[in-house]
Amino acid sequence: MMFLEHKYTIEDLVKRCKANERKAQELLYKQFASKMLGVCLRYANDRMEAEDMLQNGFIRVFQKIADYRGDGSFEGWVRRIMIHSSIEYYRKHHKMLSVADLEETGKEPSVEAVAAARLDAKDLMALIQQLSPGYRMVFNLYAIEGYSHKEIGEIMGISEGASKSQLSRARAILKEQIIQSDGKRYEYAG
Amino acid sequence: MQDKEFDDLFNSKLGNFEVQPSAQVWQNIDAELRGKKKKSAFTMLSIAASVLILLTAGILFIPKKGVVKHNKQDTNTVAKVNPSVVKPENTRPVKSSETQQAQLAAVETSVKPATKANQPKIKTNAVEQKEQANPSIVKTEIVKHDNQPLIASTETSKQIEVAKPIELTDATSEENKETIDNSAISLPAQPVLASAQPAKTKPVVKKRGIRNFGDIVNLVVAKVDKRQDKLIEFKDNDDDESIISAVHLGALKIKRDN
Repeated sequence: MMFLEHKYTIEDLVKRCKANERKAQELLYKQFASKMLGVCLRYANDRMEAEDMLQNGFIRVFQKIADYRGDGSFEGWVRRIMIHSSIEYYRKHHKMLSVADLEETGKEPSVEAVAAARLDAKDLMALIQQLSPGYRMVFNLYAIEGYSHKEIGEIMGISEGASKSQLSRARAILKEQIIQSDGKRYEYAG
Repeated sequence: MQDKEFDDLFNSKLGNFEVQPSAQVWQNIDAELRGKKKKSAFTMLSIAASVLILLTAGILFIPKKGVVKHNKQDTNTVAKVNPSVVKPENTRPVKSSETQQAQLAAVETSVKPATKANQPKIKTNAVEQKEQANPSIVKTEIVKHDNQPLIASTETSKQIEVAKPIELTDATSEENKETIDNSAISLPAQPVLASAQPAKTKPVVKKRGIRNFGDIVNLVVAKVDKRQDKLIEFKDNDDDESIISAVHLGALKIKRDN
């Protein structure tokens, strides 16, 4: 790890960042930037949006670093800020986060585990980015971040029920997409 | 494929997804943080500057007030002295002519530059009028009358003194008039009175000077900038609000006439 090479511990860097030391801020950024861009990408339409979210998130990290008391991992703390920064970004730029409640909950398409497993991270990322923002947020928060519907409701300002229904709708859309791409794959193969 | 399975698939493949951001992102963050710092340094500077200005204003202003106060006190104490000296004259119209003789004597001694031999006489008069403080005061008065330089130093007091007897002239008898006239003549010469005028009016102007922000700025600028055309001048408009009336920045000169 780059970190060990520099002989800095995260604790040290955090301490120095609290003292507003520019070099430490840069080192801390470099330590987490790639990982956090990976987080932001899941909440964004594209890379440009994701980098905007990342930028806002890190500015917030450095502004609020004095609030970090050391309980829980620092990475987890930064990640939460990135998630909030991403949601905030959508609040600002897209205004409407929550999608209207679903009229009909059609039968979910069945996806073969093999087909899904064939997809690599980039494919899955592309699938998530195709979702409308509201679905994307809920799916990310629940499936990947591991938040409860209650927590998601609080973060996004929607009801617990709305969170549940948006999650299942998001899953249905994703499955549909996987089946489609899998079918295409078959066509090419055959 | 179960929902849980499905979610885990995404979690395992995307949970640790990493992409190197472009260099621009850090540059933007750095610029933003630097901008914030600059801003905060600027605010600190401006706070320091305003404190300095206030302090300067205070230092320039407070001693001024002190001087004014001293002047006032001088006039006050002397003014206090004067009525007691003039008192015999003041009370005269009230008191009947029976006591006039005695009082006349008092007036004569107090007004006419008298020798020291006269003083005991004054004392007795003063006691008659139950004015115990008078003798000493009268004494100093007389000494002052004899001594021109001293009179100059207490100009303002003389003015009051002169004014009072003149006011009284109408109310008093012919004899009194004469003595009072004498007193007026025997009092300090005109030039001294004239010189007393500015000393008296100056504090009055200062007192009503500071009414709003513009006046404070004018005062500070006047202290710092001794030119005819000040760096910046404020004046009051009809609504008693201060407005900038003139700005002089080297070649740039703006002046409002109204």
